[in-house]
Amino acid sequence: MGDGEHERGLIAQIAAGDREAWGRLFQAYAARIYRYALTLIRDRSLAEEVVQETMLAIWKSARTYASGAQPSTWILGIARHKALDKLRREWQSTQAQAEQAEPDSEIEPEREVAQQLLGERVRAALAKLPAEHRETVVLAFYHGLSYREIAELMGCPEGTVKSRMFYAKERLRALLELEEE
Amino acid sequence: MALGLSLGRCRKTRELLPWYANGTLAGAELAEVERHLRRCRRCHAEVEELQKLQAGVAQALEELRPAEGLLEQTMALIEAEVGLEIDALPRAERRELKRLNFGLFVLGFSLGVAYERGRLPFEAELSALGLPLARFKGRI
Repeated sequence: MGDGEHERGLIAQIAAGDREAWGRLFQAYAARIYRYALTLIRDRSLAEEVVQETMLAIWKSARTYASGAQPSTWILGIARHKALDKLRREWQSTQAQAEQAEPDSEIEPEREVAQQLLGERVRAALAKLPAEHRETVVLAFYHGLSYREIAELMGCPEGTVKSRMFYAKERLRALLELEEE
Repeated sequence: MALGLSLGRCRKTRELLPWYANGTLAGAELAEVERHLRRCRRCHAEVEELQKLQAGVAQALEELRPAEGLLEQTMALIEAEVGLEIDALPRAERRELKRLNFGLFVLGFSLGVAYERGRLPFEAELSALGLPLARFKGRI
């Protein structure tokens, strides 16, 4: 998704206290952060909180951004940290109720797959993948990250990313019946 | 033997295909995959399938949108944060900031008064400054 020069410029302006630049970065990234957070925590209001906390963290820590890093990886890395932190806290506070809770209808629809639209079918299929596999697929196919960037972001070896993608793809293929022959 | 080699190349290439499909492969890996794809119809079909999957994932996520007004809410949080940053300054710096604010207030007030009075020095102020009134005689 671009070489990130524009985003680098915005981050430098934010570091100098430019709120307008922050607003532009928000416009460019809020939806991406939201969708990534939803992939991880599967709750709309928590995902919105992740967007807010991530953008607030960017405002506060733009000065610490190393210009060599890919801006999208840096921003999604902050979002990941915020989302996992939130997930951990939520899990700790609602562990007892979680087992009986209704699944999020946005992500895990139980209706007949054949009658659903493509977007819904893919979301339903993604929801059935293990969390790390789902995250890998979304980072590669929605955020357009390379396997090296994904490995850096998720803190795992590149081989693990490739293997997660391999199994995720096979499972998605089965779920979506993409094989035509 | 030849089949074994071919399957080996396919396996090696296939693990790179998702990143060929998303356009992030570069250099020697990209060249290797492109070379293999020219000869292997199975891997070529795999790329087409991955591109369909990529389009499906993109569509699935594009349909999810954060609530309206999130920008304004987050901006308000930042405004509050900037306020907190000033409150969080060490006491000495806060005192310095208050002194500066007071100084600016006094300066502004004095300029306002001077403007109201036609920007001319008047007797009491001139006396306080130790300036001889005679210098300004006829001008006040």
